[in-house]
Amino acid sequence: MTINIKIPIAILVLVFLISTSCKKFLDEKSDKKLVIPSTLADLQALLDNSNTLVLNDPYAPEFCSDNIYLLTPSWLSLPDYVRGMYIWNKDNIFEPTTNDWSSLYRKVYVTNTVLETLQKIEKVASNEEEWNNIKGQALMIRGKSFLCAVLIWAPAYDSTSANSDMGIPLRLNTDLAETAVRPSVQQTYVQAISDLQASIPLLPKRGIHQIRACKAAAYGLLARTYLSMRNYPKSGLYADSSLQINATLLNYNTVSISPTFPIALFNTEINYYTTFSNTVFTNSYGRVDSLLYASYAANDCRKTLFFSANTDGSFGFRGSYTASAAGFGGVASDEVYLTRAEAFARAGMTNEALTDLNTLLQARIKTGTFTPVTASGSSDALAKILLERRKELLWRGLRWMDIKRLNKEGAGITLKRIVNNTVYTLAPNALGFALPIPEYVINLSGMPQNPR
Amino acid sequence: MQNSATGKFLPRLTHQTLLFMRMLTVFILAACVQVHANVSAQTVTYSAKNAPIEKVFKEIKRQTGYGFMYSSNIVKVAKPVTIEADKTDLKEVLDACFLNQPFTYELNGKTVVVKERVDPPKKESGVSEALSAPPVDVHGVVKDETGKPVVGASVQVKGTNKGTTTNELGEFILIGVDDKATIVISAVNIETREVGINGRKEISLVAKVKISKLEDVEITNVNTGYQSLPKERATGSFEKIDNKLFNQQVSTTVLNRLETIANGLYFDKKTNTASPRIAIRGISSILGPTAPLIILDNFPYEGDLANINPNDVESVTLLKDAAAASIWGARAGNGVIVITTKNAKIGQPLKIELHNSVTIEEKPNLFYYKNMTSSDYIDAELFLYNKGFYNSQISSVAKSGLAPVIELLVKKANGSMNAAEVDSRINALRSIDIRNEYNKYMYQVGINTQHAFTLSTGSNNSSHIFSAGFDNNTSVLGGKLSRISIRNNSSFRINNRTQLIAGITYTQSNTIAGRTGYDGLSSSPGILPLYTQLADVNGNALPVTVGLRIPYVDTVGRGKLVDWHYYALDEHKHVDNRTDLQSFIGNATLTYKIIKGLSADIKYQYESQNINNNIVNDIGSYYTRNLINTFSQLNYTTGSVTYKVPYAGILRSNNTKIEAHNIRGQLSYTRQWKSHELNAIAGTEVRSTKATGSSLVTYGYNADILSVIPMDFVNLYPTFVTGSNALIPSDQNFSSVLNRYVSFFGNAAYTFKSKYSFSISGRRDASNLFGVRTNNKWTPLWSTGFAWDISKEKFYALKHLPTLRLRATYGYSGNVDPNRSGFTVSNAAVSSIYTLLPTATLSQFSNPDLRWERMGILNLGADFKAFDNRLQGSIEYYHKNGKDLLGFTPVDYTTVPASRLAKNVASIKANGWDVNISSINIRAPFIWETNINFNYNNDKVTDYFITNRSAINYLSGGLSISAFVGQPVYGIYVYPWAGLDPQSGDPMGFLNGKASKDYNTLVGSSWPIDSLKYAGPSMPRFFGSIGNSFSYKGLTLSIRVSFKMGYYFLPNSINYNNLFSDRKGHIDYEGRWQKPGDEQFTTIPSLVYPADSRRDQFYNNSEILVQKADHIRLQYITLNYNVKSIFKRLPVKNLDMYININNLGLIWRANDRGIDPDYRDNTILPSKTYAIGIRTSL
Repeated sequence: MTINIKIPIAILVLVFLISTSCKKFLDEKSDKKLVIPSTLADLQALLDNSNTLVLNDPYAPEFCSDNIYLLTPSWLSLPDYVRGMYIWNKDNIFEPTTNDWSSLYRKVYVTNTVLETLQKIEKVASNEEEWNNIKGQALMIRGKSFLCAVLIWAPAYDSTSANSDMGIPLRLNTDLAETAVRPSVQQTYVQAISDLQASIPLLPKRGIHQIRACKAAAYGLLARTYLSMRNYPKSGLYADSSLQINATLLNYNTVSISPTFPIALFNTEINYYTTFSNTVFTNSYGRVDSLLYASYAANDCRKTLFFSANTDGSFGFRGSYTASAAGFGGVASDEVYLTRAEAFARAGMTNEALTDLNTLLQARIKTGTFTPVTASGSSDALAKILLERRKELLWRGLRWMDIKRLNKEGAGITLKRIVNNTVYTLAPNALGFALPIPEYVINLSGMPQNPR
Repeated sequence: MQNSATGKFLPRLTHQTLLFMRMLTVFILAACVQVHANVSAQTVTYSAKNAPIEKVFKEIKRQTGYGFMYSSNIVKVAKPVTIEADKTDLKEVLDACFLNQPFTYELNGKTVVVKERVDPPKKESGVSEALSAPPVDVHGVVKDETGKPVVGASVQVKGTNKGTTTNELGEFILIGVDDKATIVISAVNIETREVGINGRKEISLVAKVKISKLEDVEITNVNTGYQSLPKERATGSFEKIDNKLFNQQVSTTVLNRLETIANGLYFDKKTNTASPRIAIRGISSILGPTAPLIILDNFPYEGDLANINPNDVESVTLLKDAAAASIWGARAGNGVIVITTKNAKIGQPLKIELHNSVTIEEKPNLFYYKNMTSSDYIDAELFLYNKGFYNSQISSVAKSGLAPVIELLVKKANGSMNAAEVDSRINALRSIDIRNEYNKYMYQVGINTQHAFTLSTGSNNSSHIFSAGFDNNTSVLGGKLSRISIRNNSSFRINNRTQLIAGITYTQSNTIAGRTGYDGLSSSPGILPLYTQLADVNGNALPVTVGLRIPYVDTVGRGKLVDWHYYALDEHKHVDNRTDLQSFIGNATLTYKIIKGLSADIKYQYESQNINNNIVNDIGSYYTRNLINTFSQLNYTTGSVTYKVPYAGILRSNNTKIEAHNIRGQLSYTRQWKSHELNAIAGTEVRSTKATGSSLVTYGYNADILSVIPMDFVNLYPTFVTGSNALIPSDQNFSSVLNRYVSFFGNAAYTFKSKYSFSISGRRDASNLFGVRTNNKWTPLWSTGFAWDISKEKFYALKHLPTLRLRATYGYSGNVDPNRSGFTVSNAAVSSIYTLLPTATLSQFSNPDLRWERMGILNLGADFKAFDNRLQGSIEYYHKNGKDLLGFTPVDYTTVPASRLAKNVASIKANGWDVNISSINIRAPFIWETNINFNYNNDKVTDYFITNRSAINYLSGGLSISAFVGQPVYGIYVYPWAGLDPQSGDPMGFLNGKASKDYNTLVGSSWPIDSLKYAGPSMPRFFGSIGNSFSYKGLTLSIRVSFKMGYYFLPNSINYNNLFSDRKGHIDYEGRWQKPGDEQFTTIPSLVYPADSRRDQFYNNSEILVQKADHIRLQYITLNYNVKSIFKRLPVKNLDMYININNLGLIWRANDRGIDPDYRDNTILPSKTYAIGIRTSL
């Protein structure tokens, strides 16, 4: 008797349990660490990943520049791709799969993932600030990456040819099916500028940490962008905006010379922190150009803080803002000062230019020995500012851009390498200033290679 | 988006599956209820008209569990029985059966003893008993005409109910028998015999085998993990390895033994010697998991296979085709290996088995490494030194280690040692070979001891098996392993409808790591120089360059730092690396017979495995000393040292835990009527496996007082050598992975007239695989098969082949790679030390078109027996058709941050033959048996939607996929060889038909695949093994030889770039081109500086290096001595002693470079092992 009642009840209970729990049972996440990014916190976590976004800035612009040189034995002992890049070879200067190109476009992919996911997250009053901040960070990093890439793999910006010169691919989504193509240099700059400009109203003035993108950095990057385009008025305006937020300079007189890397990590000049590294920047390989070293006055703190002597009398660089042998690829106020000073000088505002320069130098020259720089005119001021720019911004990845843009103005900087009894030169405005794109990419995408 | 997809899917699930679930639930509940109702009374429900009495007995036995004991004579005179019983009491039924019979019965416990009707004994009988001769104990043995013992025969004292059965050796003992009595011996397969005792105490009988013997074939059951079915009725491809063959080898683990004895199983050790890739019938997946699914008894085994005590294994079955494996669904795409453990039988007498063995493992042969000589290596270092190769390293502030020769040269250059002294020291090093040092100081003979104990017994209603295994191993590096495994399995017949089986297995193992082996120690620039000395002449440990330069370490810190040297010889004394493992399996099966032929069962299994690895690096270990010094801050003026890493030991612990729950409800239906037979199962299964892990580092650890010091892992500290800032390593990590599966399965086999069998099976799986769209989580897989016992047909006329059975199956199996997802997936990483907020990294990239891999398998088989069963075997042909296989395709990393991405890009076709033949070549008294496994596999890529046709994507020497349409999945592609340049010794390839040294083009990414030459497959086309065993009077010699044929390999050669940067030399260096004219004798390129990695890449992937990989291996020799068969009076049931020699090496190889193609030329080959053991049954 009782059996007849129990059975249907039990069936009902079981069927209910199975039908309701089956879906839930299978919806449980398989790996707790895995997330399909969908919340603002997920996106911020992607942007806070320093391995992807902070490390791995391109090293080519510094290594190809005239700040650094190698001795033949060191050069010979390096991997062949690195050897090739040193002498500006016409091909095979980037490792096939992991190189400056892949790290930059990895940053671009992460920011595109963030931007695409943001579209699916509703912006409401309670999350507006965070939402904006994340979008701003992604846009600024993407803009910076496009700028870095165009400075390496495209010819220097020239308004007369920018519409026909080949730029670099502008990936604006994560669609696998879309093949990379090369827009013009003009289009590349338009995109980089639009990303950076769009980020500004969204970002906080300073981030909660210097590895976070912020307004001060975005302004600084726009200043750098326009500087590379030789649009000096705009460059000066954006530099000024950046300095409105952060005009702090680290007084080098307060820095102890005894640590191997004297300048502490995350100093107050830094608006946004990124690094690039390679064996070639360690002092047993890459040496500082001897004429450059000689150009520092004895009372210049940088002469001791920046350099360490090798046993053979040459000098290595130790003054990096990364407190290591890695180079600094981010934005710091010293660069912004120099950018604004240059813009002033080029606009004929000599006094303003010199004020900026002297503000900087006051923090660089030994206390009590500093005498303000004077100039006979704006072009003299410009020359002095450019000299200081070179002396200040070593191991910053900025020299390559400066050589390219200054040669466009007739500076006539010829690069020269002597290794293994052979002399290699790169003449001003040579095609070689647009480095060859990794062959792997060319082969898969079908994009045109830079002309040789 | 995901919600809408699941929303659509849910009603479908409800509709299709819930009906089934409901039915299942009804049955299961009904079963439970019935158990209750039936536990008290023994009733029979049966109706028969004129049925033979034996049939009635059988039915009663089936329903009640009561056994019958009777002589066959009685059956001959029995009258047919007519009976009508409906839940009738057993006693009434028996009375009805015996009503008109010339005999009667007596209940003796649960046995119904059938006896002749005799008049009731008279009172005087007691007197006559006393007067007759005293009873004797009779010991006897029954054998057939060939001398084989007759097992399980009934031995009955005529006219009494006294009786017994013969044991495994055909022996019996009757106690207290009248010395004039007659005994009756009967069994199914022998003619009944009557023998008078006539006062004898020892009786030896030869029984005549019944003519019908041929029909009485031994039934081989194969276990799929869901059901055990007779191989004779199965349509699918099953390969069973029985206990005898399995035990011809000795090993601590199960899997090792299968390599040479399992038909169609291929172990690929080229990429990983320790855990080889296992493939059944070749490759079924390009990128997904290729390992077969391992089933232990009923459920997938999630733990480490090393936990299973091989002495518990009864048999191993390989499920090879779709019909056999599809019941396991999505995870069965690579085949299934079912391990069946030993069990006791109901009614079985007590049996005790003991197995003891000792295995000795030789020191490994380190000289198998094709290294260059120390002298050559020193010359290379001198050459590089003179070129200034080391200049940057010498002047580097990082002070990274330099080889001893370089340090000597530095001393010569700076004048701190005179030139003659330096030269003589360098020359002294030329005769040192680090391998001799390792042999002398680091390696020892390994010893493994194994003891196993099994006790099994059965009563009328239950059976029990208990086993225990003890392993104690000492490895060749002095590592220790001790393992205890305990297992109990009991089966209870609760009533005639209900059976409960419950078992537990517990394994505990403790491993202590030994010394670091030859290939285990890495130093900062690659491997240790070949001329490195580990000890001085007195055997005292010498420092070895692993981290920093020795002259630097000698003086650094002015004695204020901890010793910074690495002593290879002593390091293990300061590192206590222990791994404790506990594994537990508990399972229960409840089976209930619902109605005739239909039964329901519920199986549940819980499995857990805990692994705890603790590494204590004490203050004397290099690991700890190095960290302490790295973070020490030394004030040179005061000489005081500030430690940031405490001056104490460091404990690193890793814990992993696996927990799995399996539950399965299953209905089985078996019915025979007239010429029909139907076997069917259907059920549902839910599995959940959770793997969690954690790792922690504890600083300041002292094992004696269990001290701990809290650490700062967030702030950067300057490091001692370069002053750059670094974090103190924390290595803390947690992981948790949960896999869940829900499956519905069913299969049915119908046999008509025992001749035609038809089978069909289907399965649907769903899982919580991450990122897969929910409606793709379900994948249906099915198979169907047909078997025809053609030899049972009237028209069958092949006299020499009396048994021939043909089979054909077709079906689909699937494969899923849990590591791939269609969505962009981010992986939580260590929180940022800067923002102290979580960080994440993108681990998978949006790839919305991912699908499951599908593999259609056609299997055609023939099973045969001939020459009086002396020759038997099977031949199978299979054809596999894989679609949507996942493969890597190179992608532009501008688009996605990866250089290659998994996509469903390929289709492959494979076909092959599996042949298995066993023969008895000579029979009695000298026996020679042969078992041959022969496998042929030929696979071909039929489609590969790869956009890129760069040659460089195909250069892996066949170690990774080279999916080129029309060629095998694993193939070797090489550069055509144009010889060495006679002027420079540079290797040359072909560019536009002309010899060329343009390596940039040849090795460049635009060089097309068509310019490469296909050298052949890198997986064997033919492989198999031949086992012979010779027996004479208890002595059996088994020898197993395996072979692999029809494939190629690309050996290593000199790579100058690796030599310079990682010290990886090669013996080919000796024979390199050195001067013009050498090109006539050598194909090895000249030494160039600087090394050109593209030149090296070209040469190391060139045609000239390709070798044929064919070889024949002598796998093992086992000599077994059955002591009991000679010394029959030993007080044991059986006793075997054996010697087994394993890993005997190659007996033939096609290559002349001395390479064992199974292992490559830069690994340590497994050493020869010698085992001696004894197996006893009590």
